[in-house]
Amino acid sequence: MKGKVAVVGVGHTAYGAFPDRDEYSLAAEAFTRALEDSGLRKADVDGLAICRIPEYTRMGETLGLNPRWTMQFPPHGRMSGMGILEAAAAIATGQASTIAMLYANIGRSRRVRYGGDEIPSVWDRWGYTSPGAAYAMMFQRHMHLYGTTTRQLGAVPVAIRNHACLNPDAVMRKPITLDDHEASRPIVAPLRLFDYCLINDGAVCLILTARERAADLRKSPVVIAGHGGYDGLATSAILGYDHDCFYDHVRHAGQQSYDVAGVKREDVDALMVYDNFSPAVLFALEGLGFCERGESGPFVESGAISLGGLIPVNTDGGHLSNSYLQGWALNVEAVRQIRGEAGARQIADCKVVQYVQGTPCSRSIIYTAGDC
Amino acid sequence: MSYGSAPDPLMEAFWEGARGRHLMLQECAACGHRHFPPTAVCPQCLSGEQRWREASGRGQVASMVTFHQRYWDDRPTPYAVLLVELEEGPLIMGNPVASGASISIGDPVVAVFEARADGSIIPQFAPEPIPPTGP
Repeated sequence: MKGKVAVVGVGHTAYGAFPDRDEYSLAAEAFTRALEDSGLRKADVDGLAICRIPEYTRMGETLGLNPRWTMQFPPHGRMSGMGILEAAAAIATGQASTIAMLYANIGRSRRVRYGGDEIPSVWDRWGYTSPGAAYAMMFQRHMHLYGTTTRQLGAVPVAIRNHACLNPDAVMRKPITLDDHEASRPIVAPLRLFDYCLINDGAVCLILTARERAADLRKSPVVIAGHGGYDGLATSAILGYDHDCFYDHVRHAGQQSYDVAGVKREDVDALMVYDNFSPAVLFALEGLGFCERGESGPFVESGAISLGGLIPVNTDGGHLSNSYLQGWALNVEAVRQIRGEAGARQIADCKVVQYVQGTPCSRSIIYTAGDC
Repeated sequence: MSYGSAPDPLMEAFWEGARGRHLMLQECAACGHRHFPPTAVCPQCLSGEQRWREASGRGQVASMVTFHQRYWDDRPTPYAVLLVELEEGPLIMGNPVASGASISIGDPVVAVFEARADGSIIPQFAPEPIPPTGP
Protein backbone atom coordinates (compact mmCIF):
# COMPACT_ATOMS: atom_id res chain seq x y z
CA MET A 1 0.00 0.00 0.00
CA LYS A 2 3.04 2.25 0.45
CA GLY A 3 2.68 5.37 -1.63
CA LYS A 4 -0.21 3.98 -3.68
CA VAL A 5 -2.96 6.19 -2.27
CA ALA A 6 -3.22 9.96 -2.01
CA VAL A 7 -5.48 12.40 -0.25
CA VAL A 8 -6.64 14.74 -3.00
CA GLY A 9 -9.51 16.63 -1.40
CA VAL A 10 -10.21 18.00 2.05
CA GLY A 11 -13.12 20.06 3.29
CA HIS A 12 -14.92 20.91 6.48
CA THR A 13 -17.75 23.00 7.82
CA ALA A 14 -17.35 25.82 10.27
CA TYR A 15 -16.81 24.55 13.83
CA GLY A 16 -19.09 25.56 16.66
CA ALA A 17 -22.72 25.06 17.67
CA PHE A 18 -25.28 24.31 14.97
CA PRO A 19 -28.40 23.17 16.80
CA ASP A 20 -30.53 23.42 13.67
CA ARG A 21 -28.35 21.17 11.49
CA ASP A 22 -28.14 17.39 11.36
CA GLU A 23 -25.24 15.11 10.47
CA TYR A 24 -26.34 14.72 6.86
CA SER A 25 -26.50 18.46 6.32
CA LEU A 26 -23.09 19.09 7.87
CA ALA A 27 -21.48 16.13 6.07
CA ALA A 28 -22.93 17.20 2.72
CA GLU A 29 -21.38 20.63 3.15
CA ALA A 30 -17.99 19.12 3.95
CA PHE A 31 -18.31 16.77 0.95
CA THR A 32 -19.10 19.65 -1.41
CA ARG A 33 -16.08 21.58 -0.17
CA ALA A 34 -13.76 18.59 -0.49
CA LEU A 35 -14.99 17.90 -4.03
CA GLU A 36 -14.34 21.52 -4.95
CA ASP A 37 -10.91 21.31 -3.33
CA SER A 38 -10.03 18.20 -5.33
CA GLY A 39 -11.39 19.23 -8.71
CA LEU A 40 -13.22 15.90 -8.92
CA ARG A 41 -16.85 15.55 -9.96
CA LYS A 42 -19.35 13.76 -7.79
CA ALA A 43 -19.60 11.01 -10.43
CA ASP A 44 -15.92 10.22 -9.87
CA VAL A 45 -16.64 9.08 -6.31
CA ASP A 46 -17.19 5.33 -6.21
CA GLY A 47 -16.54 4.72 -2.53
CA LEU A 48 -18.26 6.08 0.58
CA ALA A 49 -17.16 5.77 4.20
CA ILE A 50 -18.96 7.40 7.11
CA CYS A 51 -18.28 7.77 10.82
CA ARG A 52 -20.49 9.22 13.59
CA ILE A 53 -23.16 9.77 10.97
CA PRO A 54 -26.22 7.67 11.79
CA GLU A 55 -26.78 5.71 8.60
CA TYR A 56 -24.83 5.08 5.39
CA THR A 57 -27.86 4.56 3.15
CA ARG A 58 -29.34 7.92 4.15
CA MET A 59 -25.95 9.55 3.59
CA GLY A 60 -25.65 8.05 0.12
CA GLU A 61 -29.25 8.97 -0.63
CA THR A 62 -28.58 12.55 0.48
CA LEU A 63 -25.53 12.82 -1.78
CA GLY A 64 -27.04 10.86 -4.67
CA LEU A 65 -24.27 8.26 -4.70
CA ASN A 66 -24.25 4.65 -5.90
CA PRO A 67 -20.75 3.57 -4.86
CA ARG A 68 -19.16 0.17 -5.40
CA TRP A 69 -17.66 0.27 -1.91
CA THR A 70 -19.43 1.50 1.22
CA MET A 71 -18.30 1.31 4.82
CA GLN A 72 -19.56 2.61 8.15
CA PHE A 73 -17.27 2.87 11.13
CA PRO A 74 -18.39 2.93 14.80
CA PRO A 75 -18.57 6.44 16.28
CA HIS A 76 -15.23 6.19 18.07
CA GLY A 77 -12.45 8.69 17.61
CA ARG A 78 -9.91 5.95 16.99
CA MET A 79 -11.83 5.10 13.82
CA SER A 80 -10.28 8.10 12.06
CA GLY A 81 -6.86 6.52 11.77
CA MET A 82 -8.31 3.05 11.35
CA GLY A 83 -10.83 4.19 8.75
CA ILE A 84 -8.39 6.17 6.62
CA LEU A 85 -6.11 3.15 6.37
CA GLU A 86 -9.08 0.88 5.61
CA ALA A 87 -10.15 3.16 2.77
CA ALA A 88 -6.59 3.35 1.49
CA ALA A 89 -6.44 -0.45 1.48
CA ALA A 90 -9.70 -0.60 -0.48
CA ILE A 91 -8.20 1.67 -3.12
CA ALA A 92 -4.86 -0.14 -3.16
CA THR A 93 -6.68 -3.44 -3.76
CA GLY A 94 -8.89 -2.06 -6.48
CA GLN A 95 -12.19 -2.22 -4.62
CA ALA A 96 -12.79 1.47 -5.28
CA SER A 97 -10.91 4.17 -7.09
CA THR A 98 -12.04 7.30 -5.26
CA ILE A 99 -13.43 7.23 -1.73
CA ALA A 100 -15.14 10.07 0.12
CA MET A 101 -14.76 9.75 3.89
CA LEU A 102 -17.33 11.69 5.89
CA TYR A 103 -17.41 12.42 9.59
CA ALA A 104 -19.91 14.58 11.46
CA ASN A 105 -20.36 15.35 15.14
CA ILE A 106 -23.15 17.30 16.82
CA GLY A 107 -21.82 16.69 20.31
CA ARG A 108 -22.18 20.26 21.49
CA SER A 109 -25.75 20.91 20.46
CA ARG A 110 -26.79 17.51 21.78
CA ARG A 111 -24.91 18.07 25.02
CA VAL A 112 -22.92 14.85 24.73
CA ARG A 113 -20.87 14.23 27.90
CA TYR A 114 -18.97 11.02 27.10
CA GLY A 115 -19.68 9.65 30.56
CA GLY A 116 -22.29 8.40 32.99
CA ASP A 117 -25.32 6.65 31.53
CA GLU A 118 -24.20 7.48 27.97
CA ILE A 119 -21.54 4.78 28.29
CA PRO A 120 -22.64 2.32 30.98
CA SER A 121 -19.89 0.03 32.18
CA VAL A 122 -19.01 -2.47 34.85
CA TRP A 123 -17.21 0.32 36.74
CA ASP A 124 -20.27 2.55 37.23
CA ARG A 125 -20.94 1.41 40.79
CA TRP A 126 -17.63 2.90 41.85
CA GLY A 127 -18.44 6.10 39.98
CA TYR A 128 -15.69 5.50 37.42
CA THR A 129 -16.70 6.68 33.96
CA SER A 130 -15.59 8.68 30.90
CA PRO A 131 -12.47 8.45 28.71
CA GLY A 132 -10.99 11.45 30.50
CA ALA A 133 -10.84 9.47 33.73
CA ALA A 134 -8.62 6.89 32.03
CA TYR A 135 -6.17 9.62 31.03
CA ALA A 136 -6.33 11.04 34.56
CA MET A 137 -5.42 7.57 35.90
CA MET A 138 -2.55 7.27 33.43
CA PHE A 139 -1.23 10.77 34.09
CA GLN A 140 -1.35 10.14 37.85
CA ARG A 141 0.93 7.14 37.27
CA HIS A 142 3.17 9.23 35.03
CA MET A 143 3.54 11.81 37.79
CA HIS A 144 4.30 9.09 40.33
CA LEU A 145 6.79 7.20 38.15
CA TYR A 146 8.63 10.10 36.52
CA GLY A 147 7.94 13.17 38.62
CA THR A 148 5.96 14.89 35.87
CA THR A 149 3.96 17.89 37.12
CA THR A 150 0.59 19.32 36.15
CA ARG A 151 2.39 22.56 35.28
CA GLN A 152 4.56 20.69 32.78
CA LEU A 153 1.41 19.09 31.40
CA GLY A 154 -0.02 22.59 31.01
CA ALA A 155 2.62 23.31 28.37
CA VAL A 156 0.63 21.03 26.04
CA PRO A 157 -2.69 22.92 26.00
CA VAL A 158 -0.84 26.27 26.07
CA ALA A 159 1.25 25.43 22.98
CA ILE A 160 -1.72 23.99 21.14
CA ARG A 161 -3.86 27.02 22.00
CA ASN A 162 -1.15 29.27 20.60
CA HIS A 163 -1.40 27.30 17.37
CA ALA A 164 -5.18 27.68 17.35
CA CYS A 165 -4.70 31.44 17.60
CA LEU A 166 -3.10 31.25 14.13
CA ASN A 167 -6.01 29.27 12.71
CA PRO A 168 -9.03 31.37 11.67
CA ASP A 169 -11.26 28.25 11.76
CA ALA A 170 -10.45 27.32 15.36
CA VAL A 171 -13.15 27.46 18.03
CA MET A 172 -10.83 28.70 20.80
CA ARG A 173 -8.61 31.60 19.79
CA LYS A 174 -7.80 33.39 23.03
CA PRO A 175 -4.31 32.64 24.34
CA ILE A 176 -3.99 30.87 27.68
CA THR A 177 -1.08 30.73 30.10
CA LEU A 178 0.35 28.05 32.35
CA ASP A 179 -1.27 29.88 35.26
CA ASP A 180 -4.63 29.76 33.48
CA HIS A 181 -4.17 26.02 33.11
CA GLU A 182 -3.31 25.57 36.77
CA ALA A 183 -6.31 27.68 37.77
CA SER A 184 -8.83 25.96 35.51
CA ARG A 185 -11.40 23.83 37.30
CA PRO A 186 -10.65 20.18 37.97
CA ILE A 187 -12.74 17.71 35.97
CA VAL A 188 -11.28 14.34 36.94
CA ALA A 189 -8.18 15.31 38.93
CA PRO A 190 -5.30 15.45 38.24
CA LEU A 191 -6.78 16.66 34.90
CA ARG A 192 -8.35 20.09 34.56
CA LEU A 193 -10.66 21.79 32.11
CA PHE A 194 -7.85 22.85 29.77
CA ASP A 195 -6.60 19.26 29.60
CA TYR A 196 -9.90 18.23 28.04
CA CYS A 197 -10.78 18.48 24.37
CA LEU A 198 -13.58 20.69 23.15
CA ILE A 199 -17.00 19.34 22.36
CA ASN A 200 -18.29 21.12 19.27
CA ASP A 201 -20.36 20.52 16.15
CA GLY A 202 -18.94 20.17 12.65
CA ALA A 203 -18.10 17.82 9.80
CA VAL A 204 -15.03 16.82 7.81
CA CYS A 205 -14.52 15.17 4.45
CA LEU A 206 -11.37 13.62 3.01
CA ILE A 207 -11.26 12.31 -0.54
CA LEU A 208 -8.74 9.57 -1.31
CA THR A 209 -7.78 8.18 -4.69
CA ALA A 210 -5.03 6.15 -6.32
CA ARG A 211 -1.82 8.08 -6.64
CA GLU A 212 -1.64 7.72 -10.42
CA ARG A 213 -5.11 9.27 -10.74
CA ALA A 214 -4.11 12.07 -8.41
CA ALA A 215 -1.47 13.59 -10.67
CA ASP A 216 -3.81 15.67 -12.86
CA LEU A 217 -6.15 16.88 -10.12
CA ARG A 218 -6.45 20.42 -8.79
CA LYS A 219 -4.07 20.20 -5.84
CA SER A 220 -0.75 18.44 -5.54
CA PRO A 221 -1.40 15.04 -3.99
CA VAL A 222 -0.47 14.13 -0.44
CA VAL A 223 0.51 10.50 -0.29
CA ILE A 224 -0.10 7.95 2.44
CA ALA A 225 3.50 6.77 2.58
CA GLY A 226 3.46 4.73 5.75
CA HIS A 227 1.10 3.08 8.18
CA GLY A 228 1.29 1.17 11.42
CA GLY A 229 -1.04 -0.18 14.05
CA TYR A 230 -1.23 -1.80 17.46
CA ASP A 231 -4.51 -2.78 19.09
CA GLY A 232 -4.33 -3.50 22.80
CA LEU A 233 -7.75 -5.08 22.98
CA ALA A 234 -6.81 -7.73 25.54
CA THR A 235 -6.18 -5.05 28.16
CA SER A 236 -8.91 -2.60 27.17
CA ALA A 237 -11.39 -3.29 30.00
CA ILE A 238 -10.88 -0.03 31.83
CA LEU A 239 -12.42 2.42 29.36
CA GLY A 240 -9.28 3.26 27.46
CA TYR A 241 -6.81 2.97 30.32
CA ASP A 242 -3.43 1.44 29.56
CA HIS A 243 -1.09 0.50 32.39
CA ASP A 244 1.94 1.70 30.42
CA CYS A 245 0.43 4.89 29.02
CA PHE A 246 0.21 3.38 25.51
CA TYR A 247 3.99 3.34 25.32
CA ASP A 248 4.25 0.03 23.46
CA HIS A 249 1.16 0.76 21.36
CA VAL A 250 2.59 3.97 20.01
CA ARG A 251 6.11 2.62 19.71
CA HIS A 252 5.03 -0.31 17.58
CA ALA A 253 2.57 1.64 15.43
CA GLY A 254 5.06 4.45 14.93
CA GLN A 255 8.00 2.24 14.04
CA GLN A 256 5.94 0.23 11.56
CA SER A 257 4.92 3.44 9.83
CA TYR A 258 8.49 4.76 9.66
CA ASP A 259 9.68 1.44 8.27
CA VAL A 260 6.96 1.28 5.63
CA ALA A 261 7.52 4.88 4.57
CA GLY A 262 11.29 4.61 4.67
CA VAL A 263 11.57 7.73 6.79
CA LYS A 264 13.14 8.37 10.15
CA ARG A 265 11.60 10.11 13.10
CA GLU A 266 13.98 13.01 12.47
CA ASP A 267 12.41 13.49 9.03
CA VAL A 268 8.99 14.32 10.48
CA ASP A 269 8.26 18.03 10.07
CA ALA A 270 5.03 18.09 12.09
CA LEU A 271 3.20 15.68 14.35
CA MET A 272 -0.57 15.46 14.60
CA VAL A 273 -1.48 13.73 17.87
CA TYR A 274 -4.96 12.60 18.80
CA ASP A 275 -5.23 14.99 21.75
CA ASN A 276 -8.51 14.03 23.35
CA PHE A 277 -6.76 14.83 26.63
CA SER A 278 -3.45 16.63 27.01
CA PRO A 279 -1.54 13.65 28.50
CA ALA A 280 -2.07 11.87 25.15
CA VAL A 281 0.53 14.22 23.67
CA LEU A 282 3.09 13.30 26.34
CA PHE A 283 2.48 9.59 25.79
CA ALA A 284 2.80 9.90 22.01
CA LEU A 285 6.07 11.83 22.22
CA GLU A 286 7.58 9.13 24.43
CA GLY A 287 6.24 6.19 22.43
CA LEU A 288 7.56 7.65 19.20
CA GLY A 289 10.90 8.44 20.79
CA PHE A 290 10.90 12.21 20.34
CA CYS A 291 12.03 12.16 23.96
CA GLU A 292 13.06 9.44 26.37
CA ARG A 293 10.42 7.54 28.28
CA GLY A 294 9.38 9.60 31.28
CA GLU A 295 10.98 12.77 29.91
CA SER A 296 7.96 14.25 28.12
CA GLY A 297 7.23 16.72 30.92
CA PRO A 298 10.54 18.62 30.63
CA PHE A 299 10.41 18.11 26.83
CA VAL A 300 7.11 19.96 26.36
CA GLU A 301 8.12 22.52 28.99
CA SER A 302 11.11 23.40 26.80
CA GLY A 303 8.86 24.57 23.98
CA ALA A 304 9.65 21.60 21.76
CA ILE A 305 6.08 21.09 20.51
CA SER A 306 5.43 24.71 19.49
CA LEU A 307 5.72 26.03 15.95
CA GLY A 308 9.42 26.69 15.48
CA GLY A 309 10.24 24.04 18.08
CA LEU A 310 11.85 20.63 17.68
CA ILE A 311 8.63 18.92 16.62
CA PRO A 312 5.53 21.12 16.19
CA VAL A 313 2.41 19.31 17.41
CA ASN A 314 -1.18 19.92 16.30
CA THR A 315 -0.50 23.06 14.33
CA ASP A 316 -4.23 23.66 13.75
CA GLY A 317 -5.02 23.75 17.46
CA GLY A 318 -5.94 20.09 17.73
CA HIS A 319 -8.87 18.77 19.69
CA LEU A 320 -7.94 20.92 22.64
CA SER A 321 -8.51 24.24 20.85
CA ASN A 322 -9.40 23.90 17.15
CA SER A 323 -12.19 21.38 16.90
CA TYR A 324 -13.10 18.02 18.38
CA LEU A 325 -13.66 16.15 15.15
CA GLN A 326 -12.05 13.01 16.53
CA GLY A 327 -8.87 12.81 14.51
CA TRP A 328 -10.38 13.60 11.13
CA ALA A 329 -9.54 17.32 11.23
CA LEU A 330 -5.98 16.51 12.30
CA ASN A 331 -5.57 14.47 9.13
CA VAL A 332 -6.88 17.44 7.14
CA GLU A 333 -4.24 19.62 8.82
CA ALA A 334 -1.54 17.11 7.85
CA VAL A 335 -2.62 17.50 4.22
CA ARG A 336 -2.74 21.30 4.38
CA GLN A 337 0.72 21.55 5.94
CA ILE A 338 2.23 19.46 3.16
CA ARG A 339 0.37 21.44 0.50
CA GLY A 340 1.61 24.67 2.02
CA GLU A 341 -1.93 25.91 2.69
CA ALA A 342 -1.68 26.43 6.43
CA GLY A 343 -1.43 30.21 6.34
CA ALA A 344 0.01 31.89 9.44
CA ARG A 345 0.77 28.50 11.01
CA GLN A 346 2.55 27.07 7.94
CA ILE A 347 5.74 25.13 8.57
CA ALA A 348 8.41 26.07 6.02
CA ASP A 349 9.27 23.35 3.50
CA CYS A 350 6.95 20.84 5.15
CA LYS A 351 7.41 17.45 3.47
CA VAL A 352 6.60 14.76 6.05
CA VAL A 353 3.73 14.86 8.54
CA GLN A 354 2.83 12.10 10.96
CA TYR A 355 -0.62 11.44 12.42
CA VAL A 356 -0.67 9.26 15.54
CA GLN A 357 -3.37 8.09 17.90
CA GLY A 358 -2.32 6.42 21.12
CA THR A 359 -5.57 4.74 22.10
CA PRO A 360 -6.67 1.14 22.68
CA CYS A 361 -6.43 0.98 18.88
CA SER A 362 -3.29 2.91 18.01
CA ARG A 363 -2.46 4.00 14.50
CA SER A 364 0.30 5.96 12.83
CA ILE A 365 0.07 7.41 9.34
CA ILE A 366 2.95 9.05 7.47
CA TYR A 367 1.91 11.63 4.90
CA THR A 368 4.40 12.90 2.35
CA ALA A 369 4.34 15.25 -0.60
CA GLY A 370 3.32 13.24 -3.65
CA ASP A 371 5.44 15.25 -6.04
CA CYS A 372 8.76 14.61 -4.35
CA MET B 1 -31.30 5.78 35.37
CA SER B 2 -28.93 6.06 38.26
CA TYR B 3 -25.31 5.04 38.43
CA GLY B 4 -24.51 1.39 38.89
CA SER B 5 -27.14 0.30 36.44
CA ALA B 6 -24.93 -1.19 33.75
CA PRO B 7 -26.40 -4.64 33.15
CA ASP B 8 -23.96 -7.50 32.72
CA PRO B 9 -25.19 -11.03 33.45
CA LEU B 10 -21.59 -12.22 33.84
CA MET B 11 -21.22 -9.90 36.85
CA GLU B 12 -24.05 -11.47 38.84
CA ALA B 13 -21.74 -13.96 40.56
CA PHE B 14 -19.41 -11.11 41.53
CA TRP B 15 -22.22 -9.15 43.19
CA GLU B 16 -23.63 -12.27 44.79
CA GLY B 17 -20.19 -12.88 46.30
CA ALA B 18 -20.03 -9.29 47.51
CA ARG B 19 -23.33 -9.78 49.34
CA GLY B 20 -21.53 -12.44 51.37
CA ARG B 21 -18.52 -10.13 51.75
CA HIS B 22 -16.33 -12.13 49.40
CA LEU B 23 -14.26 -10.60 46.62
CA MET B 24 -14.72 -13.00 43.74
CA LEU B 25 -12.65 -13.39 40.56
CA GLN B 26 -13.28 -15.60 37.58
CA GLU B 27 -10.81 -18.47 37.32
CA CYS B 28 -10.30 -20.76 34.37
CA ALA B 29 -10.85 -24.41 35.30
CA ALA B 30 -8.50 -25.50 32.54
CA CYS B 31 -5.46 -23.26 32.95
CA GLY B 32 -6.03 -21.45 36.24
CA HIS B 33 -5.94 -17.93 34.72
CA ARG B 34 -7.60 -15.29 36.95
CA HIS B 35 -9.25 -12.35 35.28
CA PHE B 36 -11.60 -9.44 35.83
CA PRO B 37 -14.01 -8.21 34.51
CA PRO B 38 -15.51 -11.62 33.71
CA THR B 39 -15.47 -12.95 30.16
CA ALA B 40 -17.41 -15.65 28.32
CA VAL B 41 -14.33 -17.79 27.82
CA CYS B 42 -10.86 -17.77 29.33
CA PRO B 43 -8.91 -14.99 27.54
CA GLN B 44 -5.72 -17.03 27.95
CA CYS B 45 -6.66 -20.55 26.77
CA LEU B 46 -10.24 -20.00 25.43
CA SER B 47 -11.69 -22.70 27.66
CA GLY B 48 -15.38 -22.23 28.41
CA GLU B 49 -14.95 -23.97 31.77
CA GLN B 50 -14.78 -21.10 34.19
CA ARG B 51 -15.57 -20.81 37.90
CA TRP B 52 -15.58 -18.10 40.52
CA ARG B 53 -13.07 -18.20 43.33
CA GLU B 54 -12.50 -15.82 46.19
CA ALA B 55 -9.51 -13.52 45.91
CA SER B 56 -7.26 -12.66 48.82
CA GLY B 57 -8.55 -9.10 48.80
CA ARG B 58 -5.01 -7.78 48.94
CA GLY B 59 -3.56 -5.55 46.29
CA GLN B 60 -1.74 -2.32 45.72
CA VAL B 61 -2.83 1.04 44.40
CA ALA B 62 -2.00 1.29 40.69
CA SER B 63 -3.46 4.77 40.31
CA MET B 64 -6.11 7.09 41.66
CA VAL B 65 -8.26 10.02 40.55
CA THR B 66 -10.80 12.39 42.03
CA PHE B 67 -14.02 13.08 40.18
CA HIS B 68 -15.13 16.71 40.30
CA GLN B 69 -17.33 16.50 37.23
CA ARG B 70 -20.74 15.13 38.14
CA TYR B 71 -21.83 12.35 35.79
CA TRP B 72 -24.83 11.05 37.78
CA ASP B 73 -27.43 13.20 39.55
CA ASP B 74 -27.43 10.91 42.56
CA ARG B 75 -23.65 10.72 42.88
CA PRO B 76 -22.36 13.90 44.54
CA THR B 77 -18.81 15.05 43.87
CA PRO B 78 -15.99 15.15 44.70
CA TYR B 79 -15.19 11.50 45.23
CA ALA B 80 -12.04 9.45 44.75
CA VAL B 81 -11.60 6.27 42.76
CA LEU B 82 -8.70 3.88 43.22
CA LEU B 83 -7.39 1.57 40.55
CA VAL B 84 -6.13 -1.47 42.44
CA GLU B 85 -3.87 -4.21 41.12
CA LEU B 86 -4.92 -7.33 42.99
CA GLU B 87 -2.19 -9.73 44.04
CA GLU B 88 -3.82 -12.30 41.73
CA GLY B 89 -3.10 -9.95 38.83
CA PRO B 90 -6.36 -8.35 37.69
CA LEU B 91 -7.09 -4.63 37.99
CA ILE B 92 -10.24 -3.51 39.79
CA MET B 93 -11.76 -0.24 40.97
CA GLY B 94 -12.65 0.84 44.47
CA ASN B 95 -13.48 3.95 46.41
CA PRO B 96 -11.06 4.51 49.27
CA VAL B 97 -12.55 4.08 52.74
CA ALA B 98 -11.03 5.26 56.02
CA SER B 99 -10.92 8.81 54.75
CA GLY B 100 -8.28 10.92 56.38
CA ALA B 101 -5.56 8.38 55.75
CA SER B 102 -3.71 9.43 52.65
CA ILE B 103 -3.28 6.79 49.96
CA SER B 104 -0.60 6.84 47.27
CA ILE B 105 0.29 4.76 44.26
CA GLY B 106 2.06 1.59 45.36
CA ASP B 107 0.41 1.49 48.81
CA PRO B 108 -0.91 -1.89 49.94
CA VAL B 109 -4.67 -2.00 50.30
CA VAL B 110 -7.19 -4.60 51.36
CA ALA B 111 -10.78 -5.16 50.31
CA VAL B 112 -13.50 -4.08 52.72
CA PHE B 113 -17.23 -4.22 52.12
CA GLU B 114 -19.51 -1.22 52.14
CA ALA B 115 -23.24 -1.62 52.74
CA ARG B 116 -25.04 0.99 50.71
CA ALA B 117 -28.32 2.73 51.42
CA ASP B 118 -29.98 0.82 48.58
CA GLY B 119 -29.22 -2.47 50.32
CA SER B 120 -26.37 -3.49 48.05
CA ILE B 121 -22.91 -4.41 49.27
CA ILE B 122 -19.89 -3.28 47.27
CA PRO B 123 -16.22 -4.11 47.64
CA GLN B 124 -14.03 -1.13 48.45
CA PHE B 125 -10.43 -0.74 49.52
CA ALA B 126 -8.72 0.50 52.64
CA PRO B 127 -5.03 0.98 53.45
CA GLU B 128 -3.61 -2.25 54.73
CA PRO B 129 -1.92 -2.00 58.11
CA ILE B 130 1.82 -2.27 57.65
CA PRO B 131 2.82 -5.64 59.12
CA PRO B 132 5.40 -5.52 61.91
CA THR B 133 8.93 -6.08 60.68
CA GLY B 134 11.66 -8.14 62.27
CA PRO B 135 11.76 -9.80 65.68
